[in-house]
Amino acid sequence: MSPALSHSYSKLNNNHKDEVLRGNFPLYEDIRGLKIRKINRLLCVFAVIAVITSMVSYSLVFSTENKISSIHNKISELNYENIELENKLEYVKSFYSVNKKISKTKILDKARKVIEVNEVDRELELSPYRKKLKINSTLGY
Amino acid sequence: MSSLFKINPKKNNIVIFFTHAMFIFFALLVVFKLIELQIIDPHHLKEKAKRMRQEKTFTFRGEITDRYGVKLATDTTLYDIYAHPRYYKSSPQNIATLISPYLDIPKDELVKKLSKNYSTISVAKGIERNKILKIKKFEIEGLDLVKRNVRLYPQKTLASHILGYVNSDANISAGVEYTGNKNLKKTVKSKAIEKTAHGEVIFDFTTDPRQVTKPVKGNKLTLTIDSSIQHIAETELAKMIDKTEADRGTVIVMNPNNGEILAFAVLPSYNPNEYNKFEQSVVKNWALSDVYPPGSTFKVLTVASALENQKITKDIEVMDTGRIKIQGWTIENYDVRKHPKPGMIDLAYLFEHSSNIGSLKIALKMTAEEFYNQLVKFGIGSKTGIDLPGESAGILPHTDTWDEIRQATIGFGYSIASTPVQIASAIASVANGGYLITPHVIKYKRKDLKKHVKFKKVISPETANTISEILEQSIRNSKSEAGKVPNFSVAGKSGTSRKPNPNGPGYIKNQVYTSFVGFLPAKKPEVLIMVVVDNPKGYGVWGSTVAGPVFNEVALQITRHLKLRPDAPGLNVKKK
Repeated sequence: MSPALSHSYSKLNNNHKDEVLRGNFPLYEDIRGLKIRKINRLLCVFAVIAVITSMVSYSLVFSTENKISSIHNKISELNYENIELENKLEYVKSFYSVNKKISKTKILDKARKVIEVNEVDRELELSPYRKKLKINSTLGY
Repeated sequence: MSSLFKINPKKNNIVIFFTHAMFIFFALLVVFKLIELQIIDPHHLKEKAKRMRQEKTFTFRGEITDRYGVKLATDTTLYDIYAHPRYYKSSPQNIATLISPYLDIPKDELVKKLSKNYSTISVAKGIERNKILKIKKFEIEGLDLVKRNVRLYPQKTLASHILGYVNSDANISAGVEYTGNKNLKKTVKSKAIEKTAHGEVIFDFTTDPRQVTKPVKGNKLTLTIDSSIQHIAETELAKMIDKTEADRGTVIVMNPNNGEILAFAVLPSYNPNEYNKFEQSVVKNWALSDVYPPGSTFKVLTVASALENQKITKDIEVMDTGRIKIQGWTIENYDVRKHPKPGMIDLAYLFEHSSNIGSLKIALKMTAEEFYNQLVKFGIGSKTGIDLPGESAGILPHTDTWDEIRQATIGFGYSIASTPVQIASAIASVANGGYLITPHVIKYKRKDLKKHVKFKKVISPETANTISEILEQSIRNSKSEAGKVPNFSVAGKSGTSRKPNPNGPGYIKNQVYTSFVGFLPAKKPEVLIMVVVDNPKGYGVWGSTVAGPVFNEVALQITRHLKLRPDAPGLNVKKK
């Protein structure tokens, strides 16, 4: 019989007359068999730990990948939207658009009502930010 | 019977042995194959798998900007929708109901399209991204949304003839889209992106997160154009064309010291976003491809040639008889009725009154070879080398065909034909001390400048200074307002030439080209402006009355925009 099966219970083929004890007893094992069994048990524990670890890490990686994917999709969308908005902005501030807008405003029309106000006798106060700005105006803006 | 099923122990051992051997043999085969695939030669399968996962990298064509970074051309994404009826999971009617509000196509038309019995159906083209995002949410099986990039010109008609247009599918282009094509398509080499079957990116440690989220762009192309000056030039030219009902016009603004073109207005213009809706005669840059007789502006080159060849001095005087007959042909001054016999005239008077007789006499002082060679040096009869396609070389007949009358008429800008760019480039050599510089619209890096922009000495600095002084004096003395810019001295010349008959000899009745070329400040020129208006209608149409005012207005606005320091305070300022 192989050592692997040695731990199974077996019935002793004894005479009933010589029996001191009756019952099912495990067969004795040798030291080698015992040690092998212990090592196998340890390896099984390691295997279970490895399986659980890989399952946990896989699910972590999977969820991280999903997160990265969704962030990537959002960023892609934002980038393409940004490109479109930049293009729209370029069009809105183009000479063509500014000209078209100005041509619609009736600059030379007389005001419907004229309101007289008193002169304000103090210097215009600019915000600190506005004071720091150096604006180089260009034609049309 | 039972003996048949008795197992012979000896035979049984042999059978078991062979069965074991067979299984071991096949197992070994599998193991060897695995070793071969995974250890000995895994490379080509890895590459094959990689190629299957890799998608063609989506690239944008490079942007084109003006010299200050204002975007003149860029790319955007649009989508085309294709249907594959084989993969429909719902009926064409249902699909049409879902997507027709976003496509501006009537539902019935859409149902007809989707119901066609083809393997692939083109449903719609050029759909914007925000509409596609809404259609994507429906997750309609059988619909394919294909992304493509499309060229966009945000400034619409501004500098359209310089920018040109591009159609990647048909491989056609014009303008700097053509000449700068190699640079605009060039992208930085990047690692190919691998994607899963569902289109999700496979990230690894070396994946560049910027590359996977943004389209790869080609190199940017910077032009020498100043979009503000371009706008000024186009606006003023458009006003004059409108006022005089002219056929077309052009304004060229350049820096005569380095050949950079700051503005190149060509009207009628077109919208490069819809170039295919315009006629070829409008889309082509006629200021480069078509030639015209330069007329009196050419007198500058005639006098410069004579001075350079030492046939005359700056103080020379010639007898202007108002009218002359050469080889049976009568040539007269335009103001012969007002000044029938001006008498001895100096060079300032010659330019001020645009004397044809004075010019032809100076032209005839040179030999044909001397005059011809000097004109060739000025670039007349050959391409300037500008970095735009479709340039014409112009017409300068060889001296073999010259007789006295031809040489005489060339002296005041007839019997030859040039492009406006050629004349501007030649006059720029007078402004910059004698160098013919290749005009260009692309701003080159220092290392590429020598390759694209040539400097060639054509006249001496003394000749150039003399001509500049005389031109400045003629503008100052002239009764016409042309060239008179407040607080600035301008050296310039107007020109009016009759339009040659394209179908035979002679000229078209009552049709002229009007032009004005000038640079300022006269002593230290910073900008040269060339204006040509083709066939203005009305009474009294001359270079000084049509092209001249355009020059004045453009020059005035440019001096403010570029913050040029006035070199003649108080000059040409109207007293209130």
